[in-house]
Amino acid sequence: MSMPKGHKSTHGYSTVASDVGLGFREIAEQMTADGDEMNHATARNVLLRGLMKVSRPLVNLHGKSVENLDHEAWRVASDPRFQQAMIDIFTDELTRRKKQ
Amino acid sequence: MADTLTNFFKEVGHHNLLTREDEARLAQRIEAGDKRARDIFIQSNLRLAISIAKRYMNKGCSFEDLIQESNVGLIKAVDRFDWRRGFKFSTYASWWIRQSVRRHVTDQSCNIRMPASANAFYYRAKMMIQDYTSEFGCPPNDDEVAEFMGVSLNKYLSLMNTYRGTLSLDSSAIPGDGDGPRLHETLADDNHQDPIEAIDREKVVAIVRQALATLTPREEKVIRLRFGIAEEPDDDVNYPITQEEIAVLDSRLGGV
Repeated sequence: MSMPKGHKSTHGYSTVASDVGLGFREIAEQMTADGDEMNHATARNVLLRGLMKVSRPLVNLHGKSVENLDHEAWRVASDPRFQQAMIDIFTDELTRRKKQ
Repeated sequence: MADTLTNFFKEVGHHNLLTREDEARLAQRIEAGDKRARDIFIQSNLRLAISIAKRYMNKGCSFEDLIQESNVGLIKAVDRFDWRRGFKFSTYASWWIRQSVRRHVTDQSCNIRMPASANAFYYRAKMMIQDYTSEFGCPPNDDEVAEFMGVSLNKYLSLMNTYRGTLSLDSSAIPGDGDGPRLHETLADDNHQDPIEAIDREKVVAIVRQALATLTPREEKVIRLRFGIAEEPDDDVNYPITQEEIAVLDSRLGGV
């Protein structure tokens, strides 16, 4: 699905990387080296699929109608502002989960 | 206090006003060191000091203090009056009295003392607004006043904002309602998190937590790599090596 015109100029690119994060090509190389072969597009799709698992219940929480849920969840997941906001929570949660 | 004031006014009324010739004669005697002449000069002009003090009655200072300050101004004027110039004393003294009272009003009427230059600026701006309003029938806008005063709009606004007055936190939040809530009870605490916001955040964190539990290892790994949520390579307690990772490492070593 193409991005609406002007979206990138106001919101930036559809995904953000933190200062220490990797680009999709680097992620693909790393994953391939670890035995999970993929290219950069797949890396991006896997990331967005993972983010959609978080954005879907959040969209649902704010009362969006079910028929638009997937589209809205995708839109939110690919919004760099959402991703920026999630980085801190992800960092806390993923570190906490590993420690348990 | 009212009795003291009444007595003072009665006392002041007993002193006759001075003519131009009286003023010159007394001023000459004062120059010669006659203290009695100085007292008569001051007492005869107390009515002038009171009349000027009355103009500043509604500025947040007590009337007694205003009279005291105007008397200080009057004494200063008597000591500096030069009879040779030929002016009437009241013309000369009213400036000194007004200056003295005005300084007291600006120092005392506000809890925060402002520099004299800022006070002068405020009064000039206020006078300009009054003149403009009476001439054109509507008040000037901030840009016009700032331009007239020769300062930037930002400087003008910040100076005028400092004169908006102060409020006691213990005063009533509803004007005129003495038994109503106090002002401090109605102010929001910016340092305290809004309870609704806290509940919302907890809900969001709980949802994110649940959602993260459903991530496949592949998705979690990509998210970690993308957002730089690194596993410590030396921390085998918090990040123990998995069987799959051992298998991958084995296969790599086998290939070597």
